[in-house]
Amino acid sequence: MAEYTPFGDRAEWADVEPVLQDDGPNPVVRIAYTPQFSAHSSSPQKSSISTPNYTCWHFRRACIDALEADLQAELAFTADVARESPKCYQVWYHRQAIVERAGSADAELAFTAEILAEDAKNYHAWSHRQWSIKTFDLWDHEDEYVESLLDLDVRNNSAWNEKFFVWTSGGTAQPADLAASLQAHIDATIARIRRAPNNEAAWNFLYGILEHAIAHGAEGAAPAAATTAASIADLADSYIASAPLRAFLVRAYTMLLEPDADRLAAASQLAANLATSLDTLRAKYWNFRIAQIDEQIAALPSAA
Amino acid sequence: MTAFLRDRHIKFLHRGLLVLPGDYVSLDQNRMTLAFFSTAGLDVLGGMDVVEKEEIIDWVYAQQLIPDHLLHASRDGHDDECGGESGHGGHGGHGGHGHGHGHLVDEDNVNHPHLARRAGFRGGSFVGARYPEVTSDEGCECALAYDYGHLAFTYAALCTLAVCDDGLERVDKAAILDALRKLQLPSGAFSPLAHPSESDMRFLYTATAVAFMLGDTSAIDADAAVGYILASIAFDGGIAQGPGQESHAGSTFCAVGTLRLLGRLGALGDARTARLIEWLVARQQFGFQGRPNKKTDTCYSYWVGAALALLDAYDFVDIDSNTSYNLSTQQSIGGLAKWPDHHPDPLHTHLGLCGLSLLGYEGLEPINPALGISARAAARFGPLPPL
Repeated sequence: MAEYTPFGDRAEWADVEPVLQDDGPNPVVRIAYTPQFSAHSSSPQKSSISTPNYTCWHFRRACIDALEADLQAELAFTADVARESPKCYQVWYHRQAIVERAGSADAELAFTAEILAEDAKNYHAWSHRQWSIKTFDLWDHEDEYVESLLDLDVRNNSAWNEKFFVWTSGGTAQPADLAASLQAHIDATIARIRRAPNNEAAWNFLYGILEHAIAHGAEGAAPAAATTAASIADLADSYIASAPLRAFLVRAYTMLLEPDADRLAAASQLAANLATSLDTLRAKYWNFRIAQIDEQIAALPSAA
Repeated sequence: MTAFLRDRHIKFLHRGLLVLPGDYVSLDQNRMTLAFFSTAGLDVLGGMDVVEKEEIIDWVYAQQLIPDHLLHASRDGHDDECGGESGHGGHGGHGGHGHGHGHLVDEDNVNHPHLARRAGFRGGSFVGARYPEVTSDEGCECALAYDYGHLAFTYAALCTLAVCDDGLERVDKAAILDALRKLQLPSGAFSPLAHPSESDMRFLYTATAVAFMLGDTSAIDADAAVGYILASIAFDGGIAQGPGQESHAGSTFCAVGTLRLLGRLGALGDARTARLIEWLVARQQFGFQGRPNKKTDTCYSYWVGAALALLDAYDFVDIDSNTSYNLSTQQSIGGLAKWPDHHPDPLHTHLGLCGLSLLGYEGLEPINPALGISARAAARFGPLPPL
């Protein structure tokens, strides 16, 4: 690391009048500044000690606009800062603002993939990636990318979320589009579940696509949900220790499918299994669900 | 079970209020938040007698920005800089280019929305503002071009004042409520400050909490807020920072807290509420995690626990395992960390203590789960609105 020269000793800063910080007679949460920080730049530098300071970034954008600065160079700078501080809200917002000014997100998928290779669940990187895809219509290869992440880690909940984002085109997919791809998604998800039957993220995805398809009137969605639940009930015997499998079925029988007497009775039994054996940490919740299901059973027309 | 290190936690939080090591330097613009976590944590511990409340109150007020004063001082010739980003929520590369006197060209008008949006509290004195004579009625007299109130710090400031038993008499309520009305975006979310910025569930919550503490939630467009929250419900039943994003316990708390403070929890409806409660309950793995398949972290005992409490579903929490997890994150120098054997910080200390308070742990003040401060301090704001 090069030796640090305080800003006050640099020729190019000679005409700058320093503003002393005035904290009043009784400062609260006073920070013992290092010599570097005491004379820091008014704009973030690489390896900056003020990366989360939104004011610095705002000032930097004002200068970029005024000077009509090179936006590609700014993207490179921003990438360096984000690599060092990948969870800093301000640098990600700054990058978005520069991409907007540049009018192109050509580098964004590769850049966010680079950050996600270090931390596959970085919320900021995913948010920026989704914004880039939606704003610049970059959907074409996203499902392939998601699949590659799930191949690496099938428990990556962020990747499952992105898979849902792609499947619904960010919420704009039409019922016919959903219907056309629903069964393939069900089959592929069950294949991944078979290899990791306790993976809550995959179960949530499976339930989520069925629920979404039904709610949006996708043709054939309700029968597909019934068939799926039936095949999962068959799996229950071979995946004895899977709590999320049973939680999926309890939800499906009581909320997703038409709740008939057989399904409700099965749901009650599954919830009891969860409460007493597979998911005792949540025993109070499952006992509450059993009471709810009993009320549902009592309210069935045939029981009246 | 590990013993509770009450006195060490009081010392840890008190130390942080006085002076923090240089390692905290990247949080320089966040000092208000650190002051909030430290005082609010001391309050939950019943340890506020160690601090000089008046000194904290004066320092907090010194961070208040009032547009009238900005305008007044601008005309005295404090203006500088090369112009702010123009407009709000929009870009186009025409920021201050060609504006000789920067923001004053289009903001030198007390009615200009950009100026009014600046009202609130800043996170510290980093911009270079002069410390005001707090005994005068002038408030903050500075008018630096890059001086802005920020919703997160306004929330933290009001909470800190309440914790210090201040009656908010010196808060410019009208100006801050006016700023809130101007900071809400068409999506229903909030921008945290007057210049273009990120916007997400955090700032919808802090805006709503600020409006509640100032006694006028009509400053929030509740229908737009509800619309944003419903659009942010993810496929697994949890709530994300925004539409399409991954559900997260932090954003879920922000959404539930917003709905509760607006008296709009009913907008979720029975089916979505049931799914949400199941998602929240599923976050417990002894301690709580923030997302499926992520590590547990002390702070989620508050984010998840408070959301469950607001949904009248806290009974589903397994008390013993969560209590022993939070106690295991206590550090020998005082304070709580996110994990066992990790460095403690004021955020995880305060939120971990709030989590323990929700668990009914002995010797801690009860908390108000909608605001994240003791019920005692929150009482001055009156009851929450009807459900």
